[in-house]
Amino acid sequence: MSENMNLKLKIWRQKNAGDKGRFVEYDMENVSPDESFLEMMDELNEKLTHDNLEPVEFDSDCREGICGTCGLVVNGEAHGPLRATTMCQVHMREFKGMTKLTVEPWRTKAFPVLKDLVVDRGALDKIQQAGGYISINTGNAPDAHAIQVPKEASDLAMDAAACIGCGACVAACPNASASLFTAAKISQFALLPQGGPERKRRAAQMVTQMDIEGFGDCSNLGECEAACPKEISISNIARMKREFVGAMLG
Amino acid sequence: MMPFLKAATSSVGKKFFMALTGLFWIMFLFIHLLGNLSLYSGHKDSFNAYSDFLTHGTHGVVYVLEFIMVAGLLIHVISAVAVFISAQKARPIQYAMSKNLGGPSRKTISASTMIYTGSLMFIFIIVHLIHFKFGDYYSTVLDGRVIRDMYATVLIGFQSPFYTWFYVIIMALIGFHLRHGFWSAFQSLGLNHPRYNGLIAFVGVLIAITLSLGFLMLPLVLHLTGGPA
Repeated sequence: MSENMNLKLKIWRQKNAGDKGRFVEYDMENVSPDESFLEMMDELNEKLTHDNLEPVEFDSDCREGICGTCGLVVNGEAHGPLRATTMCQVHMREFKGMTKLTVEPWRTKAFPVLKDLVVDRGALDKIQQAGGYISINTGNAPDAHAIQVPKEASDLAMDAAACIGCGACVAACPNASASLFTAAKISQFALLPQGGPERKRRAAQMVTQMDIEGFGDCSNLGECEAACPKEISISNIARMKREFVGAMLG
Repeated sequence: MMPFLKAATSSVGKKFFMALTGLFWIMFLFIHLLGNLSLYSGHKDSFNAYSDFLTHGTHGVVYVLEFIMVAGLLIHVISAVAVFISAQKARPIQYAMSKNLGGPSRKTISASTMIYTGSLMFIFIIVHLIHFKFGDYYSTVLDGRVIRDMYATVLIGFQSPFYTWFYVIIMALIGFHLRHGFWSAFQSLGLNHPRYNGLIAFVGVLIAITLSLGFLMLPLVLHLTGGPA
């Protein structure tokens, strides 16, 4: 059993979207290294509630690393210090030896802070709605092998489809670009025959929507891939560029 | 199909053309470096003949190339500034703490200083043209013809420690710019394949070192030795 930790938390507090926001420091004592970061935040909130203070608002849902709801920047790292993991799966032992943790929301103009650490990621939904689908007539399910898909293509499509839309790529990008998200959503269709008929329109519309939402441009820095809890590769961004150039040149 | 201008000015389009123009300029730098090597020969005639060929011997082709280069440079610079501004706008409130994530990330010093090394290189190109192309004019006779003694302009130019060190520093920065720029251009063109990524990154480093050292040595040698005997 490892020793419990005493921590100073520097947390971004913001009343609402219109508020300027500021950092507030809290002391947390006797934190178990075996509890998750979000459980530690729950404890802080219990303490704040007990003291008749406003608890810190943050997003989480499944707490199993699969839904994409949680997401915080801790000490400058989106989803914390553990790679290929969402915030909810990071345990306090990862912060062993640290005494001060700075907790911030995803920071980009396209994700306005709603309250404290909660941001509105609706911009990602709008990119998805701009073309992240295939148009088919409903009816009977087609035969299982009516459309043949090479194993390699289906694997790559699954890798891209692993994106849970958490927005860590945007948060970690020095330019606040949503290229990795958009590229993953374009790739999962571009790699499969079912995505073929609408590929040019899809690439053109989704990239256009990404630009409209006010994300920054991609500078090929690759911080997104490093922060992605699903380890989605920037080779998907290259695929998005091929798809888009196809749409640009005809 | 998208309207071309809309596509070209989109986030992906800007980087596509930045990549094309960047690779074009890398090609030019190699040709420029090859031309410079004639300075090492020790005969002022070979460099002057090369310089005279460029200005008078190409039947105007050089003007077409110069136009493409200037247009390419402007597209590159304007796109780069647009990308930089988009990044500033996209994150009006900076993080209190930020960290390089490492792992698969390619955020190196080269990568995060592109706008600064690029700006200095742009200033350098203007100074370089004023300094040499539109600089002091000396005449010499080659094969019975009076031509410009570009060799003298270069040699006298690099007697100044200020110019010499200015050139050396900028040439070193070009190495940093190209290290990220070469690989990044391929990514921006959509050319990314697990089999070739390592090779592209390696060639990028090789090109960065070759061009940087190749251009850096010349002013240094000319300054320190006063030119070949």
